[in-house]
Amino acid sequence: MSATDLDEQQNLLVDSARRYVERGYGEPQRRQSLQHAQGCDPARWQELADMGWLALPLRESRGGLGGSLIDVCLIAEELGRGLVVEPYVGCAVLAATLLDDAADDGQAARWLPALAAGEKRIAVAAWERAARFDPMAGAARAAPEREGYRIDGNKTLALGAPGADTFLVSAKLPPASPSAAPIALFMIDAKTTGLSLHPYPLYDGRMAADLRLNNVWIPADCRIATDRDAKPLFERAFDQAIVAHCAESVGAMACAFDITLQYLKTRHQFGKAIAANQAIQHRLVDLYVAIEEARALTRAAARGFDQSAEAGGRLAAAAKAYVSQAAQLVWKETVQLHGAIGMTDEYILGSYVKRLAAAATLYGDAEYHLERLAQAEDRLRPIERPAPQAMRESQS
Amino acid sequence: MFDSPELTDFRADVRAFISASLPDEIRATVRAGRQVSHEQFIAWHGILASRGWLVPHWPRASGGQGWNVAQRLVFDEETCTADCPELNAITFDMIGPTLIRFGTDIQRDRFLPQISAGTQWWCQGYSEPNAGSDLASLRTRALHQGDHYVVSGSKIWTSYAHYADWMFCLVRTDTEVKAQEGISFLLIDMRSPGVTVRPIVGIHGWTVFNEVFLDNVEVPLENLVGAENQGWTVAKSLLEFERLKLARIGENRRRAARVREIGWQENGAGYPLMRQAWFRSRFAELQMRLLALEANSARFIERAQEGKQIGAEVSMLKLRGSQLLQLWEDLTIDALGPAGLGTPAFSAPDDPRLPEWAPTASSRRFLARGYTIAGGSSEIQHNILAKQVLGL
Repeated sequence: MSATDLDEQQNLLVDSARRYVERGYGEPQRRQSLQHAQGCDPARWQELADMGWLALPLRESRGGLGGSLIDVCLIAEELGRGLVVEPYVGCAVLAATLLDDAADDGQAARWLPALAAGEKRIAVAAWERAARFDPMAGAARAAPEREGYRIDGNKTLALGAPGADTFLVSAKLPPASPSAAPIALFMIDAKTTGLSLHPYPLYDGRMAADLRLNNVWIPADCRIATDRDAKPLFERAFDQAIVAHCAESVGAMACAFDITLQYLKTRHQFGKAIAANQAIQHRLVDLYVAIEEARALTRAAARGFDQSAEAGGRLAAAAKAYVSQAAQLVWKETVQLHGAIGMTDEYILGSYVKRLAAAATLYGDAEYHLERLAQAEDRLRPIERPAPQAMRESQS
Repeated sequence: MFDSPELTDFRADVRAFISASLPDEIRATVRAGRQVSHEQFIAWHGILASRGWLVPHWPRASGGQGWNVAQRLVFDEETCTADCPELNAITFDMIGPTLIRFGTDIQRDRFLPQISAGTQWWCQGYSEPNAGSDLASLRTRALHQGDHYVVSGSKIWTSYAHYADWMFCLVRTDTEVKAQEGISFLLIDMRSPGVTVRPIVGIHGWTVFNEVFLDNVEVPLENLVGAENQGWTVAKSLLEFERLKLARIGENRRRAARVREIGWQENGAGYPLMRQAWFRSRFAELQMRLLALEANSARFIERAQEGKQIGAEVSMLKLRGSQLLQLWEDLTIDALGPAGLGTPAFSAPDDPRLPEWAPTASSRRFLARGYTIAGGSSEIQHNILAKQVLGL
């Protein structure tokens, strides 16, 4: 198998996803999902399950299909191209793979087959407003109490949370030392007493929710990955979801670009197609190149996890920073290149514009991920070289 | 970053060879950013040739090693990051392979041994004062007279013509037909009567390019490559590899390494630049762009490796690779701050904390502006992508 091109099976995967989006997920279905109170039409979610795409990211030993992150990205890219509303990345990639990675066999057997079959849905509640995009920096607390834990805190932007059956919630345990409070991961049923959900649509129409955990008590077996530090699990799951989110955004960018290209080829002004103007052509080329690089870097990041979580994480940060910048460029330029029609809510471009603008911020904006890249650089800091003075003397 | 295991071993071999074989004095020249002399180049060619690595990408029958695309790019990256002189692509990558493909047996026997031994230097006579990006409008005439051509005209921006023994040249042999159809590809001995080279000092203070005047220069008919009036086809057939190489990954990495070096340097301010917000974010952004360029280029390398055609979209590698080089050079100058204003002839009093290449940094930044002009300007790359990829 080649390292960067797709193999035959992967091409089939892309074909089936594209066919589904083109034939099964048209404008009527999309509108219906947008109008659905939970932002996830159960009929559509079931279709994603029937296609095997909910099982794809999960390990085979756990009832999944054991797809690679590249495979998941291929699906995400096509869903992004079709502006699919259902929270594929948030629920089926981020939440389900985090559970797959962290859960013991009993927990896994109870949940993963139902998630893969589309019977249950799970969402992650990690971000907190004050901690911005860092999923590990929240202030929510978990205190051991009566053979269980009491959890207090506020979570924001839990993607796909409305309608989810259960949540993976991060909270800090009482610190072993004043500087280090370990992060723990809890599975909390949506109906738990003390948990309240405040759903809202993001400006691209997709649904998220804030979670308020007020004196929530859960039994001890709701804590996941008790034998391990949850932080690396969290980092890896978020980084992989970020890559899938990048792929979804690349799909949306590519489609917004295609729409714009076709429009400019057909619309005439001053007696010729708008795209016949060199100033326009060069701007289109810049968008095309940005999208090509965004896709290449996203796929390189997906493959980076084959090497190590650290290599994958560094590339994921680079990919998200790049995709955020590219998404901002693409939505702004496609509006400008369309002219006034690009400003209307009725025309399909507007939906891509809002999706891309939101996607640039979601999972961390460019600045956040550039700082992560800089931190990776800190770890690569060159070992202290011999003093330059000494080097010069030895040369002369 | 994206190597296979075999390639990792190969990379280690190349590294070991360079560290054992590159003379200190040449390494110091390149590292300090001073211009590499003709003698230094010839010496380095000899070292590479004795290892068989001067033209390793040529077929074995012509004196090469038959290296594949990935090996060549690794070699370029490693030699570049280890401060080896940059090999003259005109000689080793352009005229050599062109003669292997289009030359007569006599031409191959005459030139290839000297090129592969590293003793003969070539320059490329394409651009003219009135034919730059619009190359096909060139006007240098070659008149067929008996057993030779008489060539008159002038070439400009001819890199390293002042080092060159030979020039391959596009000349007009027919003025009656469409611009691209009346051009021929000629090999001209730079010692021929009527050839005058006028070096042009660049804004970088270096002499890289030249003006070459051709005044009734007699060129034997046997120096025609390809058929008469088919020169455009020969010139356009640049091997696909050349287009991959234009991503300039190695050069970008070398610049990244230099900027990183100043970034971590104890600079007397108490904390290094890498801890200062403006530098940190710009460095990370260029690092991100470099990773994007590498990932994008890896796709094309692999396609070439598998013997597949790489299409016109490869132009984006040249476009991005050259832009990125300029951004590294800009960041280098900004990072040096006051120390970036000097010249090799007159720089600030010796500061042991400054890297030895600081006084030449401004030259390199000016030099780098040429990357988006030469070899098909960025605007031409945009036109190619618009026409051939986007169908505009």
